Amino acid sequence: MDSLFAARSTMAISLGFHIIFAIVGMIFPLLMSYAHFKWLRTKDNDYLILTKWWMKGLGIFFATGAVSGTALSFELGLLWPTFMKHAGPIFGMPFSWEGTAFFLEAIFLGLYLYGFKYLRPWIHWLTGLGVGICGVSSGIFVVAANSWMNSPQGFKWIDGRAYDVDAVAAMFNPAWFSQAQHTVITAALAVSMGVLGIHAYFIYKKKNMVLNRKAIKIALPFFLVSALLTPISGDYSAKDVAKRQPLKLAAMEAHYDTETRAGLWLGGLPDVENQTVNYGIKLPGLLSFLAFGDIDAKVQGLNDFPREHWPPVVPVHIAFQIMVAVGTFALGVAVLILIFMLRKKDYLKSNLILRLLIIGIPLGLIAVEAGWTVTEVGRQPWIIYGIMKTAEAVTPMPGLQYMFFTFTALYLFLAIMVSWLMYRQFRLFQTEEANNA
Amino acid sequence: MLEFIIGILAISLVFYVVFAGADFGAGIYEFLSFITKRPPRKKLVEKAIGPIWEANHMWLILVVVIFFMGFSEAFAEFSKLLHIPIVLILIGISLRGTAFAFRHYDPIQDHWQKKYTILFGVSSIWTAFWQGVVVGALFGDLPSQQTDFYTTFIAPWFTAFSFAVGLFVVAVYLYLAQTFFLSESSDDPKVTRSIKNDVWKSLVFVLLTGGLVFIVAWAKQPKFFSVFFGHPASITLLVLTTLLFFPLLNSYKTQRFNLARILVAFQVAFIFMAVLIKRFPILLSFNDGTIMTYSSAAAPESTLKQLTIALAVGITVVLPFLVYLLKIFKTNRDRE
Repeated sequence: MDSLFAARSTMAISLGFHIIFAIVGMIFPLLMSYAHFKWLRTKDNDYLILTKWWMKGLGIFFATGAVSGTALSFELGLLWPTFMKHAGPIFGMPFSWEGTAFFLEAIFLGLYLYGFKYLRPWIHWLTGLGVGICGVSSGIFVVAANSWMNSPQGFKWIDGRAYDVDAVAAMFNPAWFSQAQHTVITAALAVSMGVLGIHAYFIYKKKNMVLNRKAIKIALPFFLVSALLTPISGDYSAKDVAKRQPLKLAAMEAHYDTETRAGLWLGGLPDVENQTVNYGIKLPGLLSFLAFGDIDAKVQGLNDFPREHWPPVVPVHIAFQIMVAVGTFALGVAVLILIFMLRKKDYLKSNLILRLLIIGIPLGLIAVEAGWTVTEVGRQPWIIYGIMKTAEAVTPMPGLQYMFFTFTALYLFLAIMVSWLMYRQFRLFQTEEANNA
Repeated sequence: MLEFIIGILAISLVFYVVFAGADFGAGIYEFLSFITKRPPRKKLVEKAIGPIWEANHMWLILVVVIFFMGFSEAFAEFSKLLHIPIVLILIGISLRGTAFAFRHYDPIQDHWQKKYTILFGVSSIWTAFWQGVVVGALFGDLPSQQTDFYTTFIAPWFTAFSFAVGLFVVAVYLYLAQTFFLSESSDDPKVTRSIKNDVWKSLVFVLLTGGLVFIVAWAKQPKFFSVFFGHPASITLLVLTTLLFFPLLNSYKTQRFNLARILVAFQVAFIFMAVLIKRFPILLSFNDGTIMTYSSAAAPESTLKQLTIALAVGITVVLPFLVYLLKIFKTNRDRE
């Protein structure tokens, strides 16, 4: 395992782990606040039970997200000191704002989780809502740092040094809006899918139907809105990538030769040596249309660029396909539920919908991982797109594979622990509900 | 601008040491009472740090952000050379935070509680110790050239001085936590009495390890030693720290534990400030005699301006809520 590969793998496992907790920390408090709001308004005890169950989940997820986020921020320096040395003053600004949002989030979380006995009911509720708002804001801020790596601006790069640094221009880089909107919308989709699926499972198993129905009603609006918005949001993102990072788009689509009326691959395994894609279906003209809104538009292919600048095509293409597939699946489920609702039929009596929702539990999270794979692996070999190669940024410290093994073991351990705790919670959830029902 | 940023950096560091340090100390204390099989302090720890530890942890995030944006050259340099102990700290922080959260939120209270407690305690000691090692290493001379693995990546922190500082930090965190606990336990005189006994022991531990730091510094790190006593502000702060012992001892005797808490916080803050001031304006020093100061490592003016704005706004927004949080949970008053 060479140093660069070890460093990239360590970063990948850390980000891949953290992102799950980060998106839960963003969206879950909003669901919880909604349940809490319903309890305050209706005094229906089910909503209180639900709020308290969800609080426990939030407590675990937030703590894990906070510590893995701390590790990540240090890892930027531990793994990529050359990058941090040059990039820090340029793209550090969103981190400084994220710091404030994150600090507030932690304060609100403390007030919320321990505040039942101490705070007035509506103030208490507000602190819970504050956790969600600060979570979403800190997510939006931190994406600005990542989008800068995709569309660097706000400096002049001369002989390996940055001059005329403008941190404001760097923060408001052109990729920020496109990446941030897609992050927030799909975070809402992934988290609401997870929550819906879990409660759908209990309904499927005929456990405390009343409470679980209420839980689903709370998560459903989040799911419907985000599932309908995701294709639009993804399309906007793809068009943005087509404009700014044509090479990334070419890798996403395993598109080798520049052509007009370029086709879109459905599925398929790219064979980079022979410049083909196996086992896929090509829809003619659709790539041109999706990238530029015109089936006759010219789409640049990988061969237009020097081979050493190509990102790894296979993982980027596969990750992109997974992301699109999950988005389509979610849209399908959302439309199905809407049809049921329009016909005034009870969608929770449909075993098909329940099964689809249960299948959906991990899918949203998998799509989020796939999406970050597209963004991050698709930017390779650059750490700052077009400016600094990832290989130039890596630390000279030898033996990085041990760091990779250590962090893999650490995150594996934490992932197992969190899953196990969730399992225990669900087990108790069933029995306690049986008692209540 | 630079002065403001350095000021906030120093305040964040001091707050982290005092507040998050006490949280680490809580873990250490709980673990010590756990292995000596004395009445468990778990409830007290949960009550004392549960609502606030995550907010206290944020001071470290602030420190990192300031280094990221304001002094990225120094951040890159020490991240590279102190890679190993920083990784050890991160492992400790991750395990400790999660162990605490897992224990609190595990819906089933069974034999797992014991396992979480052990993990929480061991990782508290572990993290505190390695934090001290990194601080100790930052006061030594770092290698200016990369030579072999040992000289570049091990030698800077593998020193008697660093390890002595590590022990000292463990002792200080423990002492802080116990003093803070005194005011949390005021409803049970028996518990208070036993914690008071422990405070004396950990105070001895602080003095011993502190003495060790001085002895090792005197023998191995003359630079640290001479400047420590050479700077008038540092000496003043050290004298103040010593003088504070008189009202402190009195407040223990008269059971005014809230006052004791504040006095101890000031003592720790003073010691830490004395060290920071003594070192100022040097951020890092190297074995070829070169130094990196705050101003030489500082980001361009335009970035510093943005950092100043972000910090000023951030502190203004965060502080009232932080005070509210502490007021709610540290005044021992239930609404019911």
